[in-house]
Amino acid sequence: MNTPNSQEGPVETILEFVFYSLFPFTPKNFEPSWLFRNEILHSREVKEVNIIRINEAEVFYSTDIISFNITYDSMSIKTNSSLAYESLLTISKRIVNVLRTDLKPEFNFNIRYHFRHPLQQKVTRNMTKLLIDSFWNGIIDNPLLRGASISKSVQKKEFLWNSDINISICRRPSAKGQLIHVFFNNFLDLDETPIKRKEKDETSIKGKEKDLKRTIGKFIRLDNDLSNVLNRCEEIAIKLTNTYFSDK
Amino acid sequence: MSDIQICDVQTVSRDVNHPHDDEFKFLPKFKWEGVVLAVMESTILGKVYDKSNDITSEVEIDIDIVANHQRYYLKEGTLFNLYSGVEIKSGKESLLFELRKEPFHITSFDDLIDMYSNLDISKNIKST
Repeated sequence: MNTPNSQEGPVETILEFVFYSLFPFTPKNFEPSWLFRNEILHSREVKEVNIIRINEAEVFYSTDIISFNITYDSMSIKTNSSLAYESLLTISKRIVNVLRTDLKPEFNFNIRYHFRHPLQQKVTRNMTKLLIDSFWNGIIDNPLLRGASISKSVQKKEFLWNSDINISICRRPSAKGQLIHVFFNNFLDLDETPIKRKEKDETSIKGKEKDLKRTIGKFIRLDNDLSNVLNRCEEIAIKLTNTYFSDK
Repeated sequence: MSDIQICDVQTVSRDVNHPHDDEFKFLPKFKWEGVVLAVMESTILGKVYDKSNDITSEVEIDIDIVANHQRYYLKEGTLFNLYSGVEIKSGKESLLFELRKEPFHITSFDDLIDMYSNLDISKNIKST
């Protein structure tokens, strides 16, 4: 993963993958032993994880550089270093593989980048560059922009990818206005392809067989699809921060 | 990008989880990807790859760097990541050894069935 130049602009501090809509999570099912059962960590490593919180509503634990946070509707895997990107990606692919047992074609896969900029004033000033001044003329004097959101829909050969891309200044007081969030809320529909499928024959055995083969084919390609989405999101996040928040 | 709409999004940060104080113990600054060539009494012989400079080299790693619970899995061919960085609590410069796993390689229906047979996935979806 490329990281923006630390001397001149924002430095990535947290990278987070968040899964929604795989199915309703029961947090307790995802206690650390889950990592072993699904071959994400070895059994002895699992005994050493750092448990932060485990209760009915939330399970939260970490290794030295990767954390797992599971609530009733989401699973988040996070690292404090882009150097752990590959490990995070491998874990994510495993999670998607083992959790998509129902082969549902749609799911949400969100990617969140947290960047820290050394100068708070530059974050505010550069964020405000995204503001359309004329929109507020005569309504509000000297408005400041704290965040912006765009939507993008891409019809790939293999799937439909809808993404909401949000950039905002972190409002947490301890962040001191230096943290920039670049969040991608991705919705993937593996059933939506540009080629119109022939009428499905769901009644015959042959039709059902064909349907199953098609679904499995999509499932098998999922690793590549996820990597493509991740690479594109990373490219956008780096370009965005380098273009608007660096002094290069 | 086409169809761009810009709006104020106060809600964007609504459900963000910021790092908990105890969440991470180590801050990596540099990484090597490695494979174990041999395990000796007090060292490991490994081949490591520095991706950022595209350099491969053979190194001897002190066994003390590997946590006790990880030593059990060391054998020829074990994949690992080696990070240099800072221990967050003490601020001390240090090395971190991480066992590395390869992603599943699913290229056929049989691979898929094998994966599900090997993993105890029923517990993932148990409702209570």
